[in-house]
Amino acid sequence: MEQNKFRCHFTVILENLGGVFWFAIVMLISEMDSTVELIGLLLEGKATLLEVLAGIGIVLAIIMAVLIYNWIVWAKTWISVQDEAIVIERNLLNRKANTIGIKNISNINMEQNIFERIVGTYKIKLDTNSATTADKTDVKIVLSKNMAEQFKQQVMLRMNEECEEVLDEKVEYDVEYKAKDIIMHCIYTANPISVIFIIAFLVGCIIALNSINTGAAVLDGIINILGSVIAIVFVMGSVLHSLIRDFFVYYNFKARRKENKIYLTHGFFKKRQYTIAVDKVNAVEMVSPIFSRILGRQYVKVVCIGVGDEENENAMLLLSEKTDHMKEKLSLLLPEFVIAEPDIIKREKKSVWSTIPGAIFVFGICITTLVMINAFNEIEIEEMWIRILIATLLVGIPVLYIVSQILNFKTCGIGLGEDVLLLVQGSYSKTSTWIPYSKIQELEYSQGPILRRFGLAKGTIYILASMIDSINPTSYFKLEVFEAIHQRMLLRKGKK
Amino acid sequence: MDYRKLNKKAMTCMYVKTWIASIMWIVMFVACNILLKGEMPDVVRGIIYGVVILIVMYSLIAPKIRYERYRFLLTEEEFAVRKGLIVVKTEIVPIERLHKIEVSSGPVFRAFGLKEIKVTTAGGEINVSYLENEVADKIAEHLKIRINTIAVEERTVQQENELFGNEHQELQVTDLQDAHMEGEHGAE
Repeated sequence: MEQNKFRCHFTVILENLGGVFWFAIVMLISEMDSTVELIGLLLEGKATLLEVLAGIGIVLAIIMAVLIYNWIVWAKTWISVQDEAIVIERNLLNRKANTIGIKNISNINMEQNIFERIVGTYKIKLDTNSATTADKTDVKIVLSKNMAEQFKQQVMLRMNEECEEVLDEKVEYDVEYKAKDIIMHCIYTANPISVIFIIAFLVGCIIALNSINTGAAVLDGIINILGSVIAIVFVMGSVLHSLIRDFFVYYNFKARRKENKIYLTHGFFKKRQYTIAVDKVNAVEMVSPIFSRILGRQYVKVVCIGVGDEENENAMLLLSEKTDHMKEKLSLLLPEFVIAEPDIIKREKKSVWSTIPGAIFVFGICITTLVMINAFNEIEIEEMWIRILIATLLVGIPVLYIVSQILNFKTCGIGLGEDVLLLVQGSYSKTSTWIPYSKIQELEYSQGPILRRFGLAKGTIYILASMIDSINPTSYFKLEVFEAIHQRMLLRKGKK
Repeated sequence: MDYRKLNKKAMTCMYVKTWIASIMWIVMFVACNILLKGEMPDVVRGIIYGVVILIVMYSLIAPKIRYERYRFLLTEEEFAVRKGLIVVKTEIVPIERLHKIEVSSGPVFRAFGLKEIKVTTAGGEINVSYLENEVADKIAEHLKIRINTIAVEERTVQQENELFGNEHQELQVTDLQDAHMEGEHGAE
């Protein structure tokens, strides 16, 4: 029985116009000189109003053309929920009907960006259990709040699943993070390179200001360095953005478990609401970036289709926590993955030879640089700070490489649990991935001549996830370890 | 659980495929050599001759080694392949997790009566090439039957679990009622 057809909320036309609008603004700013000149000519009476409008008209025409196109697309796109499928018909020049089997839908999530919050709409994101579309959201539908709730309810009823009132703000959550926790999470997970940049920037500013104070013409000094400071601030913008982005993404983070579903909500500018079916969780990752590892913390993310598909988005379940707190909170949200850690088999020491090619490369580059600097004596480096920088790099890079390899041996390991495989990877950072054997889609291991000589192998475990998460490479282990994984992944329920 | 070796025809096919590719490369290098005869430095010409010799050696040796190393395995639960020249790679897929089976054969394969099977899971895919037509068809058929059998087995277990789960619940309810009644009688 076919249900009533409906369209997306009309504001989607303006939302899709966003890119063009910003393009027009950029055009206007970049052509500011011409615009000012044109207005000047108009005031002086050397140009007519018509000529000025013609210039603006081109930009307006582009916006209008895109607006009309979006309006046609909106007007000709119809959505309907039929017995077992969602059908999206688009009757433009090419008629297209996209049918999505409701049984294959893995996730229905809701999202609101700033624009959608102003106009009171929600974006519904549907994801199917498909590896080919695992990297992106399959369908996005923008509806008013009431329509979005009804649509979600309708689809979930057909999936034989209870629809939770995720939009209800009064619901009590199992896990909530305050602004302070989120700021701490940003610090724990900060990229060390970004931090070095910021420290270098601050030190540079202090040195520059000191040099001005000692000089006579203070004002001249400030004016001289102002240009450089503005340039550096622009570069620092991206570094700062990477540091504070997570604060806005995970602002007001709340999570709760009810029956076989986990409900997540977070976001400052873009409000996200996710529903994760526990049986669709293919793995759980516990990640400790370098600062978190030093301070004994880790965050938890789930690997499943539908959450974390978008760019710069993680399917976060818990923010940075100490191990005992993390386990406590994980037992509320996902007790299926609160498992006693199996004995860890460390990376084989015999595989130390694999570090040699990297060492040859790193040391080779450093030695070549040193030789070249000595060979070209005429290139005299007068600036002391450049000399210090070169010396630091020439010593620092090989040291960092050696330390990373030592840490890699200390970190990498594999734990063969009864039902779950634990894969530990990393050097400075550490990632522990818990993969149920029943979720392993493919096991691959390889041996070159040297590995064969030592009876070792290196492998990859494939699971259903987005491109990055689906491939889980292992370190070097004895061949028997891979045989054990092989045997465990073939055990299944219902085997006679 | 033994891996099976390919038929001898597969080795000939590997040689033909490698030679076709090698000839194309050699023709390209020779053409470059003739066209840029006057302008090419001796070092570059030397490198080209070296590459051509390597290609010839590769096309003579590589197919034989590949053939000797190529193995496949089909059991009730898994489909696996082991292949490679210098690095030998083993790929294993549980039949239970297969989504798609694709059987194909290109012109060279058809000339030798060979086929290729590509099986896809939700997380990856494996290719087993150079299979004789009958063997490939039998494997594809076996995989189809096994996928269905496994689905039926799992459904049965699920139904049994639901049934016994319900009975277990009913038993618990009866126990509770009995206990309650006993309690009431005891109170009397």
